[in-house]
Amino acid sequence: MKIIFQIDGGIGKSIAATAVCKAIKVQYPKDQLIVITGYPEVFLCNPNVDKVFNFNNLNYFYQDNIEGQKVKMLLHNPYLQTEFISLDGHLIKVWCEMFGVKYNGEQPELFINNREQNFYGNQFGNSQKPIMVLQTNGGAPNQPNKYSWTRDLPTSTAQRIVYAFASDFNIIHIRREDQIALQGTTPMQADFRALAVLISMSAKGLYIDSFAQHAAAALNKPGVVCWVGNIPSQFGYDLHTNIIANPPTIRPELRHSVFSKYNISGQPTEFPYNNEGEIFNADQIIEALFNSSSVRLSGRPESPVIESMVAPHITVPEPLAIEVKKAEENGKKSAKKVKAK
Amino acid sequence: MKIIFQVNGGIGKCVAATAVCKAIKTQYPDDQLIVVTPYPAIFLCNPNVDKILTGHDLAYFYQEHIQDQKIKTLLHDPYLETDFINTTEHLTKIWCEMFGIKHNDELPEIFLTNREQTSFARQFASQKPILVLQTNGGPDNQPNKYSWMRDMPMATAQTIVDVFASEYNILHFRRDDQLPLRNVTPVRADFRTLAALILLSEKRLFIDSFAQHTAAALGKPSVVCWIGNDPKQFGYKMHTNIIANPPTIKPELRQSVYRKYNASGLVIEYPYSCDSEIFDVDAIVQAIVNEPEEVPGIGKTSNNLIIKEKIRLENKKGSMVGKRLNYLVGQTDLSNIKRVLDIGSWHLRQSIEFSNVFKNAKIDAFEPVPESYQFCLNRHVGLEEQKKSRIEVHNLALSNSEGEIPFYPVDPNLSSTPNVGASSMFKFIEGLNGSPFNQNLVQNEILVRANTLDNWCKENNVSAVDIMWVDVQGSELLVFQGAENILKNTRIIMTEVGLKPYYQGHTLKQDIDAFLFERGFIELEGSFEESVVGYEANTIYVKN
Repeated sequence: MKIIFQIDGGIGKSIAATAVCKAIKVQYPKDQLIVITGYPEVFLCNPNVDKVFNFNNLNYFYQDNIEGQKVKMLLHNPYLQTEFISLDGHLIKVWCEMFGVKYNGEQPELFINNREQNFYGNQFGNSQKPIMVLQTNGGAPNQPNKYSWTRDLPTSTAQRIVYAFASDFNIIHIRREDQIALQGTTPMQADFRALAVLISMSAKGLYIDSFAQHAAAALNKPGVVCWVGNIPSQFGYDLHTNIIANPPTIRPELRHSVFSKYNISGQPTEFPYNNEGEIFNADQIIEALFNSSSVRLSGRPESPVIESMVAPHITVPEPLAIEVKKAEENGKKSAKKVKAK
Repeated sequence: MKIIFQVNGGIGKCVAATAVCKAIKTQYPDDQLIVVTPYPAIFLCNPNVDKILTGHDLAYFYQEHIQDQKIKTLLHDPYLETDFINTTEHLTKIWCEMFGIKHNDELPEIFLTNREQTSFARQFASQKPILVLQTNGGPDNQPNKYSWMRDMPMATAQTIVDVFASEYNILHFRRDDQLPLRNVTPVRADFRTLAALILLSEKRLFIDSFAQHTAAALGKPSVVCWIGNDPKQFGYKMHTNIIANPPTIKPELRQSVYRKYNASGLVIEYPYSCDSEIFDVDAIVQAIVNEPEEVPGIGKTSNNLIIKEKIRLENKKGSMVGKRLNYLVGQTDLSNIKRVLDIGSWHLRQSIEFSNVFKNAKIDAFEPVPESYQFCLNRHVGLEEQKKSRIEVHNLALSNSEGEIPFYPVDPNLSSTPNVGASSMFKFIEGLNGSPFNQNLVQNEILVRANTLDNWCKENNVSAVDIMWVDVQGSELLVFQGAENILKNTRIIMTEVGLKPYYQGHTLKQDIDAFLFERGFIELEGSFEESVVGYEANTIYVKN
């Protein structure tokens, strides 16, 4: 049988879908899994996926994969499920159950081969300081609001955090040219697999609810994730330190809300605070970053990236781990200075 | 609990979704069903739907219907289901099962109010019966005006139109951007108007588009022509589904993803050499000729209202039947009249009037006088086929005995007025030979063949009569006496009754009242109307 799994939406959702692929393959080990996605690069080298197609290139798909064949179509969008709308269960669980696939706690997975690790690792590996990866803004290119209060980290908060760590870390800011810049960071725009290698090499990660936190989870790299409109029990992962925004201070205007409370693009009329400074406690985030560990969680299978495919010299080495610890201590001091200000 | 059912797609899909609404409400009778759709008109007055919302009126939807409430959202698109893509089941079944709703073979439903039906019936009143046609579908301003995958080839459609144009008022559902046909009246109107038009129509020819779903929802069997889609998936058993001939060339399917053919009719996917290969026109024409009128039990209330309007129009034309049927409107169910007997037909006029109102009724006319019988036959020959096939004329007198009997036709040449209608199996009482009508009538004597109605019904396998129209010049009771058995299965008697005899043996109202009362009939209040003052009246009896 051919199982055709279609994934609509952004790159983060496609990364989360790798967990669904794993669950599908557990349930249907002998069947062929074909993924259709806007982001085929997420599924490359994934042993659970037999073929991956881009929406833009489905020539002869009907003839090759459907006509006269035994097929199972997994095409629905989990965002439309009652449990999803009711915020009742993690996206991956809802997704699996929607298709009648048993969910066994599968987590996202990214598979990066040695060649990729070496190639991209060489580009990022000459940093003198440990790398802190930052994603403060998400969403599609050229969206109307450069800053979405629902999803993004307020720029002033992000900048304050950067200042706290800039002296001890090489802070690489994953951002497109149309996204807001931060001082003291190195902007990084690269293809997805390069960014995945970057995340796998980083000592620390500060994320929002966007693709990087999914990718970090898929690479088993704990990070600090800041949440405003969405909730980690739906989109997040336990390996991360999830920091939830302060409760709203004013009643939001929800005239345009249909199946979710807030529009992910950050409608100004829905803003439930007096100002961005009320959203997060920056000190709490800094503290979480200090305490966050780049060491992979025990009790969970090691990421296939690290164990089987990463070139040994790219895998976070012992000296770098020491450096990270040292940097953390320095960072704490720096942060204290920031706090004192 | 609030059940939120989102229906995306075109009008046809939304019409089909009304079947899903019914199934949902069967499974969750106590819960509130909210439908979100781009076509709210389809769901108006639907008792299964509590609220209908469009994309434009979803303000505060989250606060009012989701936040902190017990909900069930039914938002997925059935077109993405495995069974749909494999074309193994009907859309409505897949839709229900996708949501865990038991499918009980629900059909779509459209609910038009009395007011809408009456108003639309007036708007579309036509001298000729209506044939409704939808040859092209799809959204406004699509690139291909004609989609080979869904639409009827225009040459095929025009040939069919030309076959029926003389007998039918052919109304062609089409937008300004769609292809026109000759000899049709183009109709562009809102959905509910078009639905009413389908309800009013005699015959229907559709493609796989909204009209065939709507006709199914209204219980109006239609002829539906299929090319790229499959009636097992989108059609209804009540329709006569005509499937295109098999492809004659191998199509280029480079762009096909989840469906073999693109509904817009991509030119490169065309699997024929030319349009004329697609359908057998004769098969479509034959199917239209044989098209049944309606599915019993569906649209009963609606049909009563349509019939009410037809009776009004018939009455307006000065029709005797229309005038008398008016008394029955609202008193009894006229939605499914199948058999009418016109006893003492004379000129066949009442049979024709009945056929104007009841489009599905078989009408038997009985006329014993040879000249009048021939007159009826002559008139019958000139009728349009749709009526001719339903009316049958019998040269027979109905009475309480079988055999040859004397009969006394009025001689038109010797009488002051050629009132052949006063012909009877009785002679005039001396001195009353036409005087009640201020006429001087002379009767001849002939022998005619007589039978009882019971015998005739038995011989002709007639087991039930909906309406018996009796005008037999004084011998009405004899007709009823010969109809003991069939009266048990007769619903309505519209008859002349004598008040004071002017024929020798003239049976009178009081005896008819008593006879019919004993057999379960009562006189319909208000239906009594004197026709010949002091001597004769018309009245109606209905089953108690």
